[in-house]
Amino acid sequence: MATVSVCKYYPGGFSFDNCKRNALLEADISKLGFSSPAARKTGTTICGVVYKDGVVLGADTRATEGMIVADKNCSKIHYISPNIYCCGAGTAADTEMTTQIISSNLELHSLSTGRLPRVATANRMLKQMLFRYQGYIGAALVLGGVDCNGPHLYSIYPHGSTDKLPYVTMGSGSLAAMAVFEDRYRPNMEEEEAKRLVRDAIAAGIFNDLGSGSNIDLCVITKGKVDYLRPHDVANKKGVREDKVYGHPVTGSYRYKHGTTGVLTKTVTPLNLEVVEESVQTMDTS
Amino acid sequence: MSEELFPEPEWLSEEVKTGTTIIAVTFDGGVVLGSDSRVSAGEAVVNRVMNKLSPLHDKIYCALSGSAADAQTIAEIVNYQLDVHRPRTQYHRTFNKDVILLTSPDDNVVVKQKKKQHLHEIGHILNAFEFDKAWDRTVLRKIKEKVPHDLSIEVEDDPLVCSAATLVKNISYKYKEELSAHLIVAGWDKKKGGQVYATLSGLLTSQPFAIGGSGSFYINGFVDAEYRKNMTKRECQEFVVNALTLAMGRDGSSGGVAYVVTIDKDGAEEKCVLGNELPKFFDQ
Repeated sequence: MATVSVCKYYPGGFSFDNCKRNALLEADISKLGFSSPAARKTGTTICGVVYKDGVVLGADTRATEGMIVADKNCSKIHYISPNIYCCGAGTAADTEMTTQIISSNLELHSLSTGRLPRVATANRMLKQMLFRYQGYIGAALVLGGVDCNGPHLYSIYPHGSTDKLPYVTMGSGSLAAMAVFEDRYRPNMEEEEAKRLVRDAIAAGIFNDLGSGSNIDLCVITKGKVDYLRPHDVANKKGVREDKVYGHPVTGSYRYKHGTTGVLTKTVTPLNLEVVEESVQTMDTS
Repeated sequence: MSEELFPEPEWLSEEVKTGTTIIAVTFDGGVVLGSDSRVSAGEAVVNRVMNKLSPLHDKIYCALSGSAADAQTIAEIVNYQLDVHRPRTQYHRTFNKDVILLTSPDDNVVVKQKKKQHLHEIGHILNAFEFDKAWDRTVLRKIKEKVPHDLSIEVEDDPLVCSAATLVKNISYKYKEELSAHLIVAGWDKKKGGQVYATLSGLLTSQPFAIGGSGSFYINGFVDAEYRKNMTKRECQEFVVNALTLAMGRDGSSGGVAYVVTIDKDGAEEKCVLGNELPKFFDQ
């Protein structure tokens, strides 16, 4: 007696079958009457520039969930190691967790070597992890830091490719920010000039891209020192409502002058009530 | 309210591709590799100065095309695998007799023998020995016998270009369905001189010249007509630059600057030809 069974051969490596299933579901889901939950994305503009003594990283602070701003002041510049920081664009959860995982691994690595970690090491770790997940982790990162070989700046894409450049931008506002960089970047700038350039690039992204907004955060990394300026620039100040208009207080106040509404008739009807029970409960005000 | 009001630009989720034109040509005594420098994600250019000629070993380079992530990863893996062919001892070309060791870049201390011994014991130095600048490979081989067995030395000859190309081909073939990158491997070795290998989809073929990438379709006729056997180094470099210029002029996904690497028995020489220095062709 023979059993006829077909064993499915599972080749090694990750199985992305569920991703295909998800794609099919997404196509049909509107017919079923549901809507798929929108992941919170950091629509974003992030950028970085290498200047004379180090790197300056910049980011806006808006996080969107579909068309709604989920967080008006989120922090997109993540800590990797004392001398390396990373800005993240794409899905907020992915950038947050990826940078935390690599930060943790890098600390262990640094304790093992006994040396300050290098930016190239962080870059390798990030790109190998993102490549392993074939782009399904939606994290686009700008990695910058200063190590024993000087200042370095990398851009890392969700599929795992990286570029090492003197100035990079990422996110939905990256084209606007890159326009500013391409116009005004010079090698070996001074710190103030570099900070102004990054601030202006992020501002270009904030004002010309719907996915970016709110404030500008900067992070200046030099050999031995990190300045985390949050917020560096409050580009979008919330307006202050005027206190009084024509002498009447406006803000949240619904008190009107006596006589604002004219009284036409007045009727008083006494209600006859009997007192059934009267009890006193003392309140503990200690 | 629909998503059309705030459509996400397509290039945000597009995979980053190296649109590209790559070319490798053999000449009498070596090879010349050339590439453009544009990396695109959909319609946006994300890097306009990327050097797509990636070193696999001292005298073996590969040219990347296709998906940037896949191509970069393959090149890095093969580079790592070929590191086996590097002598494991650390030696500095500028030191004369003693290897001068500093415990940290900020220290200005010359380390003496006892300290070196201690550092080796606690694992801060993996392999080190003192050598004289005038020594060459044959002498190093003799030293091999005298060095303690826990300091492993592998003094090997440089790898063959064929070996490097085979490593690339193996990865390309095994993961054929998942990867979309094409690498052209070219270099110089003692056995066969300058060679060019194409590894498209896992095939391995040695050719006098090879072109690849989206821009290569526009210059197929040009290279077929203009290639001659046994060109000089100079002629070969000009041929490569002309081919790249013509392709960059017609292909939207290729552009930027031209990177040219010349490899012969003396080593590899990298050169970057800026946009305004490229040759001018009929351009109404």
